[in-house]
Amino acid sequence: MKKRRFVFAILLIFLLEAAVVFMEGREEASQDAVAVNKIVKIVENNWESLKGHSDSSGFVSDFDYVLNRNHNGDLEPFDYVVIDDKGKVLFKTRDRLSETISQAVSHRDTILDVEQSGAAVGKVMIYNSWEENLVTRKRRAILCLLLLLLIQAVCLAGYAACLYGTLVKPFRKLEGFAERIAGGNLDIPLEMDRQNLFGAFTESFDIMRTELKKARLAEAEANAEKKELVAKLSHDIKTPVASIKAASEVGFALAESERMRENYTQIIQKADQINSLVTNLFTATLEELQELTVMPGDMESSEIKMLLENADYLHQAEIPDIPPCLVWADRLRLQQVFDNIFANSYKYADTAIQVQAEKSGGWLTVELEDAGGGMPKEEIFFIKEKFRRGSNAGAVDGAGLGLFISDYFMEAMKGTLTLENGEQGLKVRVSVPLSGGM
Amino acid sequence: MKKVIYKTENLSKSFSSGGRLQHVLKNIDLELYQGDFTVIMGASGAGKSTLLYALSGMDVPSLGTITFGKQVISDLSQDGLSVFRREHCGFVFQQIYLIDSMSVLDNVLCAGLLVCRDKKALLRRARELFQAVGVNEETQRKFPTQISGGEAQRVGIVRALINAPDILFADEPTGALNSQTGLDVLNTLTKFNEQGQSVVMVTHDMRSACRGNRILYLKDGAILGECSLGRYVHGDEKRHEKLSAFLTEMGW
Repeated sequence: MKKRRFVFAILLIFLLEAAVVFMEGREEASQDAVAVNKIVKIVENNWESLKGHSDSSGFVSDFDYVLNRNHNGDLEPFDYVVIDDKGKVLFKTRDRLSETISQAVSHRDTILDVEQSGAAVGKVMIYNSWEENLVTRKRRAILCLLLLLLIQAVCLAGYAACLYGTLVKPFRKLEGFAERIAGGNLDIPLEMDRQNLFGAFTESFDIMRTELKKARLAEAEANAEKKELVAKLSHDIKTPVASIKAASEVGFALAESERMRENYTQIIQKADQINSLVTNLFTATLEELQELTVMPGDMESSEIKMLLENADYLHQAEIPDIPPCLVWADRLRLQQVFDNIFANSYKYADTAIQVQAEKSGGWLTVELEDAGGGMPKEEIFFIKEKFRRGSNAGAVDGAGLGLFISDYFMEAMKGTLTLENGEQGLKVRVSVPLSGGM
Repeated sequence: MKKVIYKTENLSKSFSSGGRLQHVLKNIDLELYQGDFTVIMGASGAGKSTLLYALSGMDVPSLGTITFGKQVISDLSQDGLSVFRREHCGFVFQQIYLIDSMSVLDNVLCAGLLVCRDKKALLRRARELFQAVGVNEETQRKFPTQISGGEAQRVGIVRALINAPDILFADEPTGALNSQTGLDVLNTLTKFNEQGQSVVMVTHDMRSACRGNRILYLKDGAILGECSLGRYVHGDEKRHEKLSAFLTEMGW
């Protein structure tokens, strides 16, 4: 509905502009025909006195009432010149009027014959004041047009702002969202505005994110099961192998011939080999994380404030200014670390979060503390381990990977991630090295 | 304990080129001491000149603070910076930029008149300095196009010192000179330093660097290491060896 009104307004302005141009262009000099005839009449009546230059003062007073309606609608006296048939000027209302016929013609004055008993004896040239008025009219027209253009510009600027709000801004938001998804962070929902043109569109993106997250979780679960299976199997394999080895060692000690001893040695060696292979198999499942790349570089510490603000999508924290310096970090991965910390706090504490930042030595440290009461001391030491979840995890979804990955990222950035119980809740300390310190 | 004249904290300078930020100086924490002949070395693009320009107030750092005495110069406006430079700093560049339409003496006095109105005192100081650098009266009356490169650089030093600056900044002062004239210029700088003039010099010439008593090595916008050489003693072979070993360690 709004759109139609807007289009209507724009059209109206265009019409007004066209009207102004049309009116101003059409308006021609139009002299009052009755008044003009009256002048001729009076000249004819007073011809003799004009000719003889006698008593012209009375003549002029006769003319005073012959008025012209100019373009403004005001009445003003005509200006004109009277000449006789030889071209001699008999009378003029003021100076600087056209005094010969050729001048009058080029100035587009109204030229009328003065007749005296049926014969033309002179001419009245009524001055065309149209050109003088032209300048003022032009100025007025330009002013009108400028005003209309201004209104139009304001309308267009409003429209542009509206377009920015409805089109560009949601896309910007989407951009940051897509970057996080690409970086493998599926925990942060996309804020959306249903009234927006793209509300439904962005919602489907968020659905995609939750689906991806589900898939990721299922994968992590499968991985965890696989790991458990491997751990179990390796344990199951290691036990009989250890028995074989022990028995072989006894056999080796009791063997009578050299040949037998050699056989037993071989059995022991192979048992050791199986043992190390099983151990390798066990550790190999833990190595897949190395595929996550971390590429730190120099960045200004003010960007960390933006990262924190991005991560705090429920606005539970007041983010302080970060001491100005250059730090060595990977923007995307650091974002993921903060995302994880905030998401954890939202999930398990759901309180306000205090954030502090300070620079000391070669480090910039950001401390985040919620008021959720922290976690049992004996759990804190192990909470960063893979697949480890706190005892209060309950029904909250998660795979126990967040802090493990965050810790891995921080290590790869040559930074640290430490957890401890603060006065009110869990205190997480993220330290990144300053640039140039290496 | 030496007096600190300059102190920088987290000094960083970034330039943006093609929409990408390039960080040339990174979190430099540095103290410069009065009376020192500090030499800044490093490979091309390590940020030597940028550091010199930031210290001398010719450029404003992107981050961090620079304190001169008690004055925080990184907070100064452009006008404030030009007053600071005029009153406290002297500059010697690779290119000397003398004004061709003025005699050598006038070139020097012209710089002096910006700070000091007492023309007689200025003239006296100029004569002293000219004598110290070995530029005779005849040369003083000549125009910059009529003198040699080595002489011009020595005139440049006189011009830099005419206002008795607290610190003299030199950016590759011997870069455009031949071996012998370069040596003269270095001797001149060394002599003024012995008289107590604080000098900060950027160079990548080892012979020049050898004159300093404190060598800073810059790499990728950070100070990688520093080496203390002690006062310059002419013909001290060990000094050269020590500097050489330091530079090798730094990956020169």
